[in-house]
Amino acid sequence: MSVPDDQLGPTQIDPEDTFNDFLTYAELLNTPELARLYTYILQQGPVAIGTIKTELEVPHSTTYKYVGRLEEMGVLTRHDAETPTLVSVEAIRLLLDTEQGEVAASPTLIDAIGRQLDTDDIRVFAERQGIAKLAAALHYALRVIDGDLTQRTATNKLGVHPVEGMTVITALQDVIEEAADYDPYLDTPA
Amino acid sequence: MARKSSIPPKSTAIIDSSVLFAMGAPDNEKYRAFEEFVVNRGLRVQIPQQVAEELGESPEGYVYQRDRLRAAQEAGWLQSARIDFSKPRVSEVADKTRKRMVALSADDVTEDEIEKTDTVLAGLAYQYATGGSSHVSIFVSDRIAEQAIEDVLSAVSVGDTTTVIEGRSLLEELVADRI
Repeated sequence: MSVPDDQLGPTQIDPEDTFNDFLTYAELLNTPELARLYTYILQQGPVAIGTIKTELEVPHSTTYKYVGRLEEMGVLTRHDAETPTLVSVEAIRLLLDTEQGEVAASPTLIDAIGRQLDTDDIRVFAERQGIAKLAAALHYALRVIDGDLTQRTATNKLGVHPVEGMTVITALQDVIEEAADYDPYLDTPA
Repeated sequence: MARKSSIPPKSTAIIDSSVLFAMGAPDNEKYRAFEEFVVNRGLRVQIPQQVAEELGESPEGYVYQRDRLRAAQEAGWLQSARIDFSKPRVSEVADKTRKRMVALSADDVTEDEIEKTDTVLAGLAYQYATGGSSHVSIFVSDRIAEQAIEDVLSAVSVGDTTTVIEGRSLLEELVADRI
């Protein structure tokens, strides 16, 4: 499901899989509730659907709707041999070849999207600046952690007010540190 | 690592806004742990005036961040501090910090992209360290600021009476100690 690594030549990339990843990503990025559920399963899976519902405090019908949606997208696996049925999801990454170089979208970004629901520092930023800017903020937050930039320099490059930039970068630093446990692509330069 | 043990009682602490942001709202456990720590230790906590001004000019959506600053000021444990560039070597320290930050940063960072506010933290620390404070701690949230400020303060011979601390790690330590 994940985009093949660059050791594979372009002729070996399945265009259908690549586009499916792209569409899956777009939907996760635009649906914070789905992103939160995906991240929870990625972190905790295999996990029972009932546990997801209880831990995330999501209504029964919504939980099943989103689990079904992730299954349709091809990222969720049901472990029917277990009772109750357990589910798990795969970590997906999208590599985008842009004019500014290669940009990677990883599970950490999906986690950040989902956190809008309970973290004001991310929600306010996403509402004011949009998801693309949030993805850029994550890119710069990774560079701050790597020791490439100070938070204020990162804010400059992001092109937002220092308070806005430092607020979101500080919040994303927490997201990134926790992501080390579940995001296999975290070390990939974004 | 016991970061807090390197902060002597009744000494001066200078914090950047990122540490304030990492603390969350006054009902957050990190905020409460920090407040308890600085009050019990009798620390004189200062936020550079430039940092406070930056907060004052923030977009409307971030009023809640200004409220955090105000809550700390009203509780009496945070004051805003003015850097005095007319004091000997204060501007030199700020300037050295800018250069050190550029040197430590990635190749795509120019000197223009180093914000004055970042360098003020070091200048203010020097001002206090040479102006009667027994010890000055500086709380920041990124590796470059941490390293650059530490290097420069050592180079101007106040390394023994100053400590640069990664604020987010300190907050985690304080919360863990409370539990």
